[in-house]
Amino acid sequence: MTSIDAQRIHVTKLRWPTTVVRRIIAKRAFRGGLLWGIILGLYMLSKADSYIKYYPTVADRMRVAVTLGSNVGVEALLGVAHRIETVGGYATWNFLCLVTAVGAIWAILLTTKNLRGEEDNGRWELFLAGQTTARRATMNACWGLMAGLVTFFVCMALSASVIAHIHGAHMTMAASLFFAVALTCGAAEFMAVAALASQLMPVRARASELAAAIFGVFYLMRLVADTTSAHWLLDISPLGWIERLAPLYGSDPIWLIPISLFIAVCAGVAIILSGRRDLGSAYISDKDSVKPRTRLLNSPLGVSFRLTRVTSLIWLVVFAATAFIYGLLAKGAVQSFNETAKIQKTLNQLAGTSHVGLTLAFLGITFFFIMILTMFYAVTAIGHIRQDEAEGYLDNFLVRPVGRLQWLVARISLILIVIVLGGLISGIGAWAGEALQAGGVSLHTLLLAGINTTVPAFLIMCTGVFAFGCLPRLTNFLSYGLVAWSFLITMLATGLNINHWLLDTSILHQITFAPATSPNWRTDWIMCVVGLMLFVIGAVVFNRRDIETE
Amino acid sequence: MDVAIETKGLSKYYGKTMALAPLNLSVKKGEILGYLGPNGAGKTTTIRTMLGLIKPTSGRAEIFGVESQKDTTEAHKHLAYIPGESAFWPNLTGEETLHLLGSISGQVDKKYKEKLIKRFQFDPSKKVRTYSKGNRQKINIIAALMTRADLLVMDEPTAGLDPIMEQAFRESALEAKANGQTIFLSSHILEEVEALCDRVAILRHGRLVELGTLEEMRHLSALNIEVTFTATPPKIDHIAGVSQVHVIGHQLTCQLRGPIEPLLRVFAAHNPQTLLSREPSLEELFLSLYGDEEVRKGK
Repeated sequence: MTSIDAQRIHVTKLRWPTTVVRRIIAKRAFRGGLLWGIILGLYMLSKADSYIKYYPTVADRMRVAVTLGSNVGVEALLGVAHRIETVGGYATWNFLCLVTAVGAIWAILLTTKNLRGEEDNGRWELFLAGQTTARRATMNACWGLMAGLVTFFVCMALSASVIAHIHGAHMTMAASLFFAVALTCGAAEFMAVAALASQLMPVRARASELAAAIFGVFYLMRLVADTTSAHWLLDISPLGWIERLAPLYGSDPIWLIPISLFIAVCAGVAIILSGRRDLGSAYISDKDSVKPRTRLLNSPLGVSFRLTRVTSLIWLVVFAATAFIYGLLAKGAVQSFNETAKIQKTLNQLAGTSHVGLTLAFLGITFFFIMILTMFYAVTAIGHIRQDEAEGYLDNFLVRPVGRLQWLVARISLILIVIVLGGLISGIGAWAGEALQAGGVSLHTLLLAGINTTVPAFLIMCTGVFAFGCLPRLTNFLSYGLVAWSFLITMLATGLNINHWLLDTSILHQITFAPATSPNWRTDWIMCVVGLMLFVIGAVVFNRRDIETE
Repeated sequence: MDVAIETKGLSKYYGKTMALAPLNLSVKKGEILGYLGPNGAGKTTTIRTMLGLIKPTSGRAEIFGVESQKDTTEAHKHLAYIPGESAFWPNLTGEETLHLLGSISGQVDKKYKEKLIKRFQFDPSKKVRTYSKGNRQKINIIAALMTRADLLVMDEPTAGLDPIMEQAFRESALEAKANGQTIFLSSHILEEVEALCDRVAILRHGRLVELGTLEEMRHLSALNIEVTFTATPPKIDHIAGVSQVHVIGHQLTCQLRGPIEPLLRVFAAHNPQTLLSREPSLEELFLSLYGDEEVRKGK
């Protein structure tokens, strides 16, 4: 029965209205899977190629096995090394833990964004108003997320297949595909964990925190299992099961059973729970009503500090931990490099000097990576500033007696403080790690190296402000693009002869790799002045342009 | 100074698209000005330009004599703004958000704040993410009113509020007016504007088309007339200014623009029993300005 005048109203019938959620999420997941798959795939390729190139003989590889394979710090980080003298053993030891960790973090962020973030911002309600139920929509979302996982697996499989074809790799295609499966397991496990966390927790941030905490616990279990006699811990930890798969050196696919069961149970429970709860509610709710804490809520600076302090602290811990771990590794790594002329040459080439000890060259490269981390922090923070404008938070300040520059300077000051603290903490962290291994590099040298890392981050931050002022909608694209470009050019320059004009476009090319060489304070000052000029232009334009919300 | 807001040739173009034609508008101190217009007419553009959030293509806006583009923070010391929708930090509570907004405003009447919280039945202890749209709007309203600013700029202030809260808002707006505060009220709710405003400005396609008191604007629309006769009503189509004539039994309804005398003469000759004449409501005024065009477009 219908009262609609069928002759006048023409409704286009869509073919699959019930799979809208699946298709939308699949599109997003595919993009993420492809991006991370390509990045990690290329990384694996380059590392495997370098291994074969720099350690061509069994004797070379045995030296690596002796020095790195018995280092407790390295074992804690990457797991126990097995058959490290083979390409397969080296690849498993070097990539499995790293790809599992990166894949898990990507999966957590992607899943909580789609399963809880969509609910937080009200879009999930629109989906549920269509021809679906909460349970079916969650199931469709999980299928959509699978698209990302499959894409990630394909990238891993392609990369592993190419490694198998490198001369001297001695890997079969079947082994490569099994390796790709193992590399994808971490992402799959934590996609399921995050799906469950999204049903349990009230907002996306809490869901991500819970999933990350679970990851932390499992990682710790693996770490303890690998560095103590409690190897049984591997058998009860989902990350341990991945290690037990032992791809490329002692394949044990039986461990795919607990992994699959774990994924199925987490995803299944998530789907069931989603159908049993009200929209917007959660099984574990933090307090909705709390006693007000108004400290710091009295100025743009205070509120910015309060709202960003946890994130800033996490970044500082990341800087410190990275520097400390590499400091720990320095001595062992250098011992394995000592008798390999090719790797010495590459280290020196990357560090930009041939008149320095390998320890300092290694630490120079370490601080190069910390430099990139700091630059990433700077662009992420600038991205948040733009987000505040786009989403309308900035309006709350600007319609009151708060100047645009006052707000901008407050936000930038906090970023700058974290960059400077990050540099200092990195110096102290690297020194502490190195000192524990009885290394001889002074705190003063490493502190200067830490300060040296802040200069490109300062420049990239100022470039971000420039983009934010002049082309606000392109802030993220330009800032991240510049970091990626600088990194790419610098890495390519170690193996190729690149035109110096092109090289000069890289921010990282302008900076010395302290402590491998002394910081060039003159260049650093020039970069700071250029940065300051970009900052001033960006700030002035921001002060004069329209506020652009999304 | 008797003028709270003054715009002189204030305009905004996005490339060749005109969002706001040069606007000359003056809002007197202590008055409530209703700012009306259909979607996309340029109401929010006017407000955001006045507040300095977007830059005018030409002209300027002054808030109590302070040019809002040149000395934005000084101008903002005298005003409070209620947007129709706001982004608040989800993990702060209502109380924390009010504290923050009050602190950066620079002045708060704490007793009045408590009174407003009670009037709007607002629970400030909850986190912002748990509030409904209406409750978030209450934060905007309380945060603005508690500052007792000389000028209140409102852009669809009752969006998302239920009728009882709308009433509470009107009470607060009239209280502010009694207190000598000026209100610039952009709204779609004609009844609200009619109940509160001293003057009304109507915007159409970015241009100010009408400005005046409700009394002054009555001429824009026809008078509604309803007459009951003892027998068949007379023919009145020939009388100048008469339109929309409908006859049902002994009852006649029509609209009249112009002098009523010729019509009354005809009615008097046909023994009328009851006669009702009613002035147009603001809604009818609004429809008389925009409705015709929409009908023409529809045709």
